[in-house]
Amino acid sequence: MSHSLDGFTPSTIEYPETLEQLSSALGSEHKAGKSVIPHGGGTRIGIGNIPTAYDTAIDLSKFTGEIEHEPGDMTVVANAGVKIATLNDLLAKEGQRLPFEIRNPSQATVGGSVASNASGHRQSSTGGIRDWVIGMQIVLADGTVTKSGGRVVKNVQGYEMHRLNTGAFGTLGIVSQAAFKLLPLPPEQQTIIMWFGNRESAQDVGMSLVNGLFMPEATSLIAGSLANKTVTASGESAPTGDTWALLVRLGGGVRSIERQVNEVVGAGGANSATGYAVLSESAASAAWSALDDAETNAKLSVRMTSLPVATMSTAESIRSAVSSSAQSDVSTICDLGFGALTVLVADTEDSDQVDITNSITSEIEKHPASYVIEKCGLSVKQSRDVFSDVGSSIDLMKRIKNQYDPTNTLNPGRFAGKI
Amino acid sequence: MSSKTLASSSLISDLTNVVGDQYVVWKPEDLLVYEYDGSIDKAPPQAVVLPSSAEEVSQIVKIANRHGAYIVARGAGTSLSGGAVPLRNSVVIALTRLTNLIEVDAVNRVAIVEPGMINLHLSQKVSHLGLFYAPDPASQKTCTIGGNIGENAGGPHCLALGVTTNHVLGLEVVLADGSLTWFGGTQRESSGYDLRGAFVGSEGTLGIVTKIAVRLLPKPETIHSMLAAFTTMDAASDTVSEIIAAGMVPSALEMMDRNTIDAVEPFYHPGYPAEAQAVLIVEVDGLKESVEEQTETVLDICNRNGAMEIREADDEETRDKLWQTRKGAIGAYGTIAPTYYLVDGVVPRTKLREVLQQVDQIAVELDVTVANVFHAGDGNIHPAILFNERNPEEVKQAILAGAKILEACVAAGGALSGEHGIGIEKQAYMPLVFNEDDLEAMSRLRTAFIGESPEDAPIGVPSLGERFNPGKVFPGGAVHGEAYGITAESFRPTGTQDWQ
Repeated sequence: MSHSLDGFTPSTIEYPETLEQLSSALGSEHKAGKSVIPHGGGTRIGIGNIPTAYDTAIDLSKFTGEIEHEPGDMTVVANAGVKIATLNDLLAKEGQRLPFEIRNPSQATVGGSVASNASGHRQSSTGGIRDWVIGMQIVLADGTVTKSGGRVVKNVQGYEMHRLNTGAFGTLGIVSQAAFKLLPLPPEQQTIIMWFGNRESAQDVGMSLVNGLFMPEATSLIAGSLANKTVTASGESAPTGDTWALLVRLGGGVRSIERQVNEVVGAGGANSATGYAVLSESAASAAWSALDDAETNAKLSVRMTSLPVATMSTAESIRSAVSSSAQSDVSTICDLGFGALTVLVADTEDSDQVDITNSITSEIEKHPASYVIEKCGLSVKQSRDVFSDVGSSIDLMKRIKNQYDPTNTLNPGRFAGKI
Repeated sequence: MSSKTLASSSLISDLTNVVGDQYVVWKPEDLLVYEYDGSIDKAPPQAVVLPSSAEEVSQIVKIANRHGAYIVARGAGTSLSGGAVPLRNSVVIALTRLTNLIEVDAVNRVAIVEPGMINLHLSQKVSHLGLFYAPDPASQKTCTIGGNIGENAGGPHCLALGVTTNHVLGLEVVLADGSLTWFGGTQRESSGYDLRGAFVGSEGTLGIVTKIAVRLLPKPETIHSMLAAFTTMDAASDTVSEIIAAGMVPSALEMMDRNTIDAVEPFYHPGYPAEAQAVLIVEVDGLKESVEEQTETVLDICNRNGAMEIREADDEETRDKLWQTRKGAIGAYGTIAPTYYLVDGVVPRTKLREVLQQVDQIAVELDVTVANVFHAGDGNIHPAILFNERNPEEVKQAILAGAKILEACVAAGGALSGEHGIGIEKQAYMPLVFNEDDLEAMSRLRTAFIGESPEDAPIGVPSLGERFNPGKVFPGGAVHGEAYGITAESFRPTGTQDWQ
């Protein structure tokens, strides 16, 4: 795996395997005044502003240790380098899983996912990583090993450093180990796809589901060419024209699933869905993979979090704003239960990216919202902050950074507000 | 015990200028009620001020800064860890006038409330929209949402739905310099550090919350509550384990022991079997079909473990009755002893049985009466140590028993607190879980929030690093039970139990 980033190539790459090695590697780089960027599986390492300096990569892929799973307590503790898929495979043997879903699980690591606040379609029902982290071990910039929280599902003891470090993109310390609360695997799962000719109908059905009597595991509303592709991937014939596809995954016992399927299909019919299909396991997997592949292959992607209704109107306004200014293939995915919008631009020249990105973010800024440009070329990073403005708390955030990493050893300049 | 110092007349007049005469309390006899909260600790404030807006809170903080006074934000004063006790002769900012529901967005399921709003009132006010606010601490009829933010409060239903931090989207906060800022917003995630996550559960030491954006949830279609009586605690504990092992997360899993049954029997006359040593409440909710499936499983497990009697409720009236003993248990302890010390500790669910046995042994060894009512589903135990506060020896034994129980929780791999917080009560025990580096890292967060002493602070004022809620959370700030003559030497943790 390459450790180069935004035009920088580190002169040193460390692969710590033990906590002592990690602590001493970071401590000595800190002492030598070097700039350090920690790496996990590399799936989200590109998110962030251009570093102000980058001397050393600390690659945690060998920092795997023992996974401590207590099925009866529904908790797990794992080191940063453990792959999400490895963890979920182990948990599944006891009928459990991580409550949150992470894209590219066979590559993504525990540490990288926590540090970058990674997400997946299930955020619609179970929320984000921050909601399930119960404890953490953090190696501070000078190599000091610290911890917060605990290993029990419920704990309030001291400041919740584990929440502060979730999504801090490794700017306050290296997340070396995390403890999570778990959930049981549902006995049955079922995916349904529905498609609509206009946003309003799709939105009505989607919102009626996430505000209804049961929360589907995932409720993703897809627009643009990806909508047609997802329908095709699920084995149905692709509709023509502008399409909004609603991909819904249900979980529960046999009788419960039966009722949920009826309710979902009924809501679709009442709102004039163009078509629908209750998918086989393989068709469901193909449909969800179509979304993940589109994210992996996108040249430019932006994630917005806002009120659910605002994400859908923004999805529409972004598509019209961008397609009028550039010949680009823009697709959107709204995770309705969460209020997240992912904007994917499939085929764009680097030279157009700055303009396209600015028109996407200016549409987002019309709402109370937050965003991060997750994928983009260097030209975009050179032109702006990839994170949305943090507002009046920027000074406090800088003071926090200064308390934990006063010499700017970790990920310098890469965070929101160029912290 | 802290000595009483009256506020200077210039401080009183500055405060009066902001909120008016009737909302500044400064006469010693009027201040008495603000010395206490729900814990056994107490200390006198120098003044209490009741603002009516965030802007007034901001002005009060600036005034306190100028006068070099510490500040304690107070909601309903139901804290069980001394969180609202004003150490260091603080000025108390009581937020009980800030009770408004500012905004409800039913489609996006978001509400914005003021911190003085009573927890239960929010659910009542959005009930007609088919929504509710999930965190439901036992004190929800009186405790405030602002206080819940401070303590990251839980409740019986947080087993399935999570604690306060899982339901808070954004916070408007008055910082140490009196400035107002928002952490997060109405969306689920915000750019930059998760300051909301860092603030919730910080026990009022980092700032004062003046507005709160929360998530609301749709009310479930069906709720089914079951109550089962068992001849042994072990049988009840096994039932809990088997329910979890069956791949279920009930919305509540609550347990009461024999002493608690004895306390509630004369109050509520539930008529539990005379031989019952434990009563378990299991509640499942969701779609009718899902509830039916889960109910079958739960009843089967209860019967397999020899339940002597099972009661069920699927309408609100019957359910309230079924829950009455659980929710009223703490109050009913008054029938056994004049005072209770409600301990809050967490153990891994799989160690529940073992730690409960240790709690029994501790009670015997120290000759104290302990009654248990607790959140079995998440291993959050609440042994209530019953004593007479007029007997100094009993007080000392109660505090010692609490310490031993927490030591046992930590030794079993658990936590010092599940939902009551550290406050005054548990700060001396923090080294059982955290080493110096851990605590130092936490204290840096407070330094980042509080900053240096403000430029206009008079020279020679006491250290303002603890401007908000001084003497709490970190070891050495105060002595639990000091009001009863307990000294720091009365209890020293016997060793540190590393989390690793």
